[in-house]
Amino acid sequence: MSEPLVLGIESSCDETGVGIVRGRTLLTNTVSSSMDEHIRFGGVVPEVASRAHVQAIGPAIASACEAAEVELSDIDAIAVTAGPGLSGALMVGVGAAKGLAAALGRPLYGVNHLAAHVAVDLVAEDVDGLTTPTIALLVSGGHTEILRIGDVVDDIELLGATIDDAAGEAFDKTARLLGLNYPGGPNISKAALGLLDGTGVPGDRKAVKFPRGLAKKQDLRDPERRYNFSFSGLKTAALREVTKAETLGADLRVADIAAGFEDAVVDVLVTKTLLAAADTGINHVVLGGGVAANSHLREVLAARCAEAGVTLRVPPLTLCTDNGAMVAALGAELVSRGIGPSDLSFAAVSSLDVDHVLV
Amino acid sequence: MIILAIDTSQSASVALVDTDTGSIIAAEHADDQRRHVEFIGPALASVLAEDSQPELVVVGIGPGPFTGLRVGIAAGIAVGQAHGIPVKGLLSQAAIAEEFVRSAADLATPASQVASPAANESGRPVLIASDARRKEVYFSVYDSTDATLSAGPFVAKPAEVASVLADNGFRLETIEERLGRGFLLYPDILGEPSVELITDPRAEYLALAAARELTAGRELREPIPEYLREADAKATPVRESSLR
Repeated sequence: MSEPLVLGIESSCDETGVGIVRGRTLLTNTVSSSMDEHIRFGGVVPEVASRAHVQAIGPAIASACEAAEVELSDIDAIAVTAGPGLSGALMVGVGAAKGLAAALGRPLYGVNHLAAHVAVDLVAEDVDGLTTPTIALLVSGGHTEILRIGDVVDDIELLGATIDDAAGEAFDKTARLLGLNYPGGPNISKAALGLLDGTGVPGDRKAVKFPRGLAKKQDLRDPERRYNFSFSGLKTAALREVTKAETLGADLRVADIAAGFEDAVVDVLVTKTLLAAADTGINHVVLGGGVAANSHLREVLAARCAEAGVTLRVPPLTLCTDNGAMVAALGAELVSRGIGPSDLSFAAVSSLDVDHVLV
Repeated sequence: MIILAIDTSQSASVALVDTDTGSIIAAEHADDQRRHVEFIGPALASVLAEDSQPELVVVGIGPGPFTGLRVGIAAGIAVGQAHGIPVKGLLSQAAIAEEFVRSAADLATPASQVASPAANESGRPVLIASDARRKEVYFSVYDSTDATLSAGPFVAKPAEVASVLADNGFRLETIEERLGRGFLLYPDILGEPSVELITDPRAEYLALAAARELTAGRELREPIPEYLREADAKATPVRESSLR
């Protein structure tokens, strides 16, 4: 059989993504985002995202087919994110995927969103496939996870995750505190670089000493906490510092707070990722999720990976953020390995565990 | 015309109907109010396995609880794309009105006002109420003769239904035909249902209602949910920080 033509649908958060791959060749990656609709709420509102998905899903499928120059009837299999993610948002994608599968009479693969983030390198054009074993750091508005990947289909282990906010969420909330708009990550980065106050002078990352959550010695000794994250203390610290400075009229810049906050988030992400690499003896790290767009994270991670003798892979940003191509890539891999599809009665599972690559 | 109809506004239902003959080629129903996404795959696969292929997809656009409602609409949009056929929307309660008018016609004796061609141009009001969750109902008024929409759809607490109807020229206490799950949930306030067997929209009647609209020269709507409620979210003003 020639390489399978697989259409993948992603709708777990605020991006409606449809990707089409042929085996390990990416044909198209169409993404429609409702990000602009969430700005006035300061974060992703599940119902707003779900409403946008149901409007976007038809046009997204149509434009993906057009861009890939394929007909839906040519598709060999459908893949869709079954979880984890926002329940109502997932259900739009799963509903559409089931409609396609039933109407075309093609197999449907309900796949894991986190595994798909890792699988995306199977179709990335700037790299020759997926490097395994690897440690994966997935960071976005909804996720902050460290995974050990022996094999993207049948050997994925969750090493650690956030116990409260996702890193991107912490950025959003602190951005708001500083009077910056959603999405918080990019705006905090700009503020940290002094690009928002007209000075062009970067903030002082050491002006305020921000805490590193779950990174004390006793935390790192505790296997339950060693790879886990917590950003709530950091958020509270930012609130305390900002209100204190506002009350006292202290000579503290938004740029300083932004820079210190960003550095605290990045430091703990990088430290724990490299701990995981060292502990598992795996000398490869792959980054995924929307926060991969943060240049300070990429710089610090690259520098400290290099120091530790660990190779770092950062896929192109359009493949790091949520997208349908990663779902199609994982689907195509499952098809290629001769693994059977999901039963058409599968549910969308908002808390799907990462070792459930296929539902 | 062969219509594939899907409604997931209350329970979930899928049907393939030949609207020229009125024959139901295949239909699948789930009484479950919540497991729409589980239901829709096998149900569509079963109905679409028939030799007859749909020429039009009609989806119930609600009103109904949002999460389940969108499952049927998204699936319908995808089926339309897969088959290269149009996808249209119709208010879900039209299916209940259609089922009522057809069952009334079936039961009618020659003397009946309902089936008589001599009946008034506009028939009696049929009040349809569905579960809107949060202790509210979605409701609308249809005409008993030709199943056309007279008023609605609205969403309100059961105790407020009478005043909403009054604002639209109907009196709750004089409406004899009351259909839908809303009357099973709130009989003390809205009255008992007049036909207990008709509770949720069924896809075969949605298809027939769509055909009736097309025959009457009315256009179907786009497959866009009729929410009647804003998304639950309050815009939070950006905080002003005095820091520079």
